Amino acid sequence: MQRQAGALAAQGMTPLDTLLEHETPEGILLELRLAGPVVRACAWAIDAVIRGVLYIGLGILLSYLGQMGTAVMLILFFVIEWFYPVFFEVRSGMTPGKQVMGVWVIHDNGTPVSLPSSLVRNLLRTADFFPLFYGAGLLTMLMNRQFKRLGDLAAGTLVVYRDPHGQRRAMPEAQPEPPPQGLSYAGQEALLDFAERDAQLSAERKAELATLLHPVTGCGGAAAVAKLHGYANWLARGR
Amino acid sequence: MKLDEITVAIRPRNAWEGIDLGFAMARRWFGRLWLLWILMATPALAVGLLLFDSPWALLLWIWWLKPAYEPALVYGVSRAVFGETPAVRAVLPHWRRFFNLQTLANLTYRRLAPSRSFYMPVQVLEGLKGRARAERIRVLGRGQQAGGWLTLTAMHFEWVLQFGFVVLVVLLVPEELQWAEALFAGSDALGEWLWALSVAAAASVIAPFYVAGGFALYLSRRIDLEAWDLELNFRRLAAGFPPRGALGRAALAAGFTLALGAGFPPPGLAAASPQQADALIQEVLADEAFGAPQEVGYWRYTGDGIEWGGDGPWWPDWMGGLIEFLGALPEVARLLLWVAAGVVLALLAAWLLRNRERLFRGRRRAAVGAGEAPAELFGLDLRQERLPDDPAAEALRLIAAGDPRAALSLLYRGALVRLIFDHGLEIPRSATEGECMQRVEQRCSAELSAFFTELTRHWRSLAYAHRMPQRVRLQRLAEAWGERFGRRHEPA
Repeated sequence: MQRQAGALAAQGMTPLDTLLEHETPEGILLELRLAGPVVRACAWAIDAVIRGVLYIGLGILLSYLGQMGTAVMLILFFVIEWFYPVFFEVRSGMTPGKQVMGVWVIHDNGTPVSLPSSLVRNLLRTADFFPLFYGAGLLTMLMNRQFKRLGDLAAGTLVVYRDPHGQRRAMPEAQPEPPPQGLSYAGQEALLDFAERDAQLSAERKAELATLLHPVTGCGGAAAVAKLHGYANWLARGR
Repeated sequence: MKLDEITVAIRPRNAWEGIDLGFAMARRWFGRLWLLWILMATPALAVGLLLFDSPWALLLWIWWLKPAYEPALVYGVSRAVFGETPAVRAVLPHWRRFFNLQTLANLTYRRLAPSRSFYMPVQVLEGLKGRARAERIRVLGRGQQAGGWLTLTAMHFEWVLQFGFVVLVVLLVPEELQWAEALFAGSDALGEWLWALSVAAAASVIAPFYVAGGFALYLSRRIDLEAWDLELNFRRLAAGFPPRGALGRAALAAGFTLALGAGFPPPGLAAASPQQADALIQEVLADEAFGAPQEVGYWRYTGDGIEWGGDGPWWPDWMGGLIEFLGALPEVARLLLWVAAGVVLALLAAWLLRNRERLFRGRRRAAVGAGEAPAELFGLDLRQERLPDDPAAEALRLIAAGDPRAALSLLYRGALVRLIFDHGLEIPRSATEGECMQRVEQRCSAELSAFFTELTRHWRSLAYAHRMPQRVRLQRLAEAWGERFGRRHEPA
């Protein structure tokens, strides 16, 4: 995301967003896209359904084993209830519900969540649950800038959206054409972005956007769109 | 309204991130939005109080009228997003925009529409109605159901807050005040009114988040579909190049034509006359993107074609065996326990055997089987039978014969053999001369160890430094050896 110019910057305010920026010691700026209460609640609900199905299945299966079955069932229920999230979070950073919703758990500094942190954030569900159905957790999430519940605050963890890896969207074929001199890196990115999002934009909107770059292309309308696609193809293939 | 003045970051977001952005907006402007909701809901509450006696009917009334309060919040949050910070006073004069036929539709046949807050900006800000509204909603909502999930989740959030509030109060009431406990549970009128209060309070807290979430979802869909971020970037990019020709100047001069204008009209039509626009609209609507047929798959019940088999348990035979086996598990577990105990004992015994020397140091010295003694150490043959019967006399003879080296070697070797076999000294195969000496110092008497140390010293200087001891000293060593170890013992 690029900083927006204009009145906002003049007032020294940053635009409202749900990004958390973290700079690594190597000077790399990580942008973590924080996940809010709605998506997290949905992920929790999916996990709750999975656990419920597990409980019912185990209950039916173990009910045939008499008292031994009851003992095993109680132990299994305890283990699943407390360590289901920990198991999945330490393994891959996300429970099945979080995986479906495209989010996962990381440390505040962007590193994968460790066993102690995962234990803390999940054992503190008791605090978040207070007084009923995660009331405290919900209020904390609504108030916290980083959508943290109490367990996240204690463990120093975040729930963020996963970034898709290595997916480049196809861009329309065009005769590659070198863009004019003096095109900034951000400008090149914008051209590639324009070509990659071709399928989502209407033809009129594309022409309108391309006409904005008249100083660069020297033409307008559909011709400008084709020209920008040519630039993008040239940039994408390297020189 | 200009994109330059927008106070939220413009970037493509997925639907869920859009909702999250709305929650961030609601947090930033919570006070104002909450006040708007209260202001809108208060008249409804007053009317309700006149109409109904039962608090439950009143609650239903307040709940049913929710879509009537929300347009003001949508308007307020949209102004705030575009840089104005409207006081509540500035929003209220626009009440006409909030109460019209659309609102009536929302209160009647659209009351249970799942994505209410997502659709609301289309009618409040864009002013669309009828078919146009439906088409617009279809385009914006394509490929995501987050709006419906937002409604469902917000509903549950309200319940959580409201039940949580009641439970908290009940938990905090001291046991001595028994009348207070009955407050919420009983049929007491006060309890019911407090319930109603908790419901209204929870609704007012969640409403700003719900409305802003729907608005931000709408906004992010438009950012995505109309590529607002690209527009910003392109403008910035174009500003770095000199304008070319009339068209370029015109494009720059036009400024931001993506007018969100009086009511967020769809972009790109700013410069057209009404007739042109009409033709253009028809043309655009004829595009496949707006009227594409959709294939929808669903399941239809065609009667059960399944033969349900006869009597007996529903599980197959092999499963019965499995269940029997599982029932026998306690026996198996007991057996496993015994096996595990045996293994642990065996491991313990093996460990003791391996470390017996360290553990029982000093207790056992004498009884060392000859088999364990090394047959050879640093090239010296340590077998007992290879030693002459009287090594001291043999050594004296060798000295006399002019072979002191052989004599000293014999003495040292003899001393080791005697220490091993007569004094029970254990020497590992890997020991060096120095380690032998240390062992002797640890295990044997001071006198013996002093003698052995001297012997070792002479032997080492001879063997490694080729330094020959004086003949007299050598003779004395041999005699001392004879006194210490004597002749060979006859086997008992």
